[in-house]
Amino acid sequence: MEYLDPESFLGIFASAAAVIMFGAIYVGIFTLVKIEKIKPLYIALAYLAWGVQTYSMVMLGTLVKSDPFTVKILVAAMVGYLLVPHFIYFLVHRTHERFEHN
Amino acid sequence: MSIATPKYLSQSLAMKYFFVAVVLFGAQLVMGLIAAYQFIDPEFLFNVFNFSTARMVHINALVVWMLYAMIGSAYWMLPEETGIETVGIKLGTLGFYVLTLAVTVVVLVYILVQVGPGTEASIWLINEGREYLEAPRWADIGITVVVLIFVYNVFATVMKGKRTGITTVLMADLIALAGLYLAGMFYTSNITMDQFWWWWVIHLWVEATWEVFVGVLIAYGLIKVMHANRQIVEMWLWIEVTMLFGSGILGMGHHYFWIGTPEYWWEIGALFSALEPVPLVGMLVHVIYDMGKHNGKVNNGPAFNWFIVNAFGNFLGAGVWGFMHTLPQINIYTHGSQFTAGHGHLAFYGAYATILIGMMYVAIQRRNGIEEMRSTSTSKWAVSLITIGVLGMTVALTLSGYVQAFVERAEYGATWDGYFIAQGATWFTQGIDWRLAMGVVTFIGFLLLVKDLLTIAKRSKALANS
Repeated sequence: MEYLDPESFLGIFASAAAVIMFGAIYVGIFTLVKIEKIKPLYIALAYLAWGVQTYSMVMLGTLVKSDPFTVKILVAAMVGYLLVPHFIYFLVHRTHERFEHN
Repeated sequence: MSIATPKYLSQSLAMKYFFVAVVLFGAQLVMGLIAAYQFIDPEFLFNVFNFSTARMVHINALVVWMLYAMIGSAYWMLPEETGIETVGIKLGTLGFYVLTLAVTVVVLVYILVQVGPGTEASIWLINEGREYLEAPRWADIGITVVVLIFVYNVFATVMKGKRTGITTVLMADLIALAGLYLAGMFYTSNITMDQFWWWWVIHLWVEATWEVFVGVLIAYGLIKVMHANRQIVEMWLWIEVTMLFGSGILGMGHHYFWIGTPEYWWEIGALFSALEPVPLVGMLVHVIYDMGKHNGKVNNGPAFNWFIVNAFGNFLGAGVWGFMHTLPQINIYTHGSQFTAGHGHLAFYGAYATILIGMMYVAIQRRNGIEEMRSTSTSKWAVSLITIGVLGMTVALTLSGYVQAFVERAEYGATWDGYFIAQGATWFTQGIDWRLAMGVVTFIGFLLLVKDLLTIAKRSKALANS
């Protein structure tokens, strides 16, 4: 494992925090649009948050000196993260429909 | 208006557990304030009540008050979930008094005796010497017996009464919770192996079994406070439990980075630690969905407020502060620094303290047959001050931890000199000062919380009758 440049510490902490924070913003806005609590056009903000999250993840991977292959894996994981809220929302929504309309 | 609430002995026992939990919560905060002040003035109580002792009691009180509140919550839920009185409740009550007596003796020994010679007798009678699990051997065995009584109470009651998804998950979780404690009760002569097993208790309790326990409480709370649909909540409980165990068990790898275990733990720890926030995504979608569907209609304002703080506190404390330094490349610089303490403060508060306090409000409401319990100004001040205080401590400790990572670890290579130079750095000391100030804010919030817990039922009844 390579030693890190201390100057990159702040960037590492900030980008790691941004990964989780923008992930939450993405999920939050996405769900609020889906349950029609805010206007549908805000979905663009949700995907923008996901974009910032993905950028933060790549930045984090680079700053901690991950090898290029690992960075590609991280990007693939972020595509997975893009889909996860869709899947979870689908499950929640379908179960609500199933049990509340019985 | 009031709701008919049968008086179960199990719920009376739960109230006793909650009472002791609040007393220990107060003790935790007092010890934390003493330790925080000793960071600023190291002469304070030097050789009378040293920092190491104050810190030990601070952390042990945290663990024990949360266990008390968890056991209390389970005794509270059991009759409502199963429809019958808890089986063996007299034995359970005896267990409560034995446990409380044991905890009192252990705390008095911690405070008055503190340490002993490096002999077997010290391990049995004074302190086992393992961080967070310092309870002497006799108390360890006593705790195990009391927990086994508790497990018997839960299993026997669920077998006899109605079985729900919530109680089924609770039973499965209790096997792991009780069983894992045994891993902290034996020694090996190799420090790496010893730490390996020790983490089974510390990590797997906190990031697997406690998280699942909290999932059970959230499920119960959503049903009681928001009238959420039981079938949906229970289905989600199973999914979240699967995700929590799936990421939490091997997420333990982030504690194996630097204790002498093989290097493959770096990859395992990094991968599964990175997955640990994923269950939180599921929870977030679920909570927002439920709030939207119920238009924020709740029958217990203060409990709901604490549940909301739980959702965000868990996300920030465990998710954000955890992920900031969970990768091995950066963890090598932050491990064991104030950065870890910052993460610990917000994660324990956000994930556990909040939901347990919420459960206390649920119990007070239902015990007193109050149909709708609204937040008082004291409730709001309490939750606000405690949250601001803990967040403030977390930010302050993070700043101090950053200095440690930068100066002590990176610039001076974790040397003795580096340690003291970092301790004297302006940003470090300012962070430590602010931690104490925010600790005082937290303590004021705690006093208001106690006042509110003691008076809110009377106020709510008076409001309903007026």
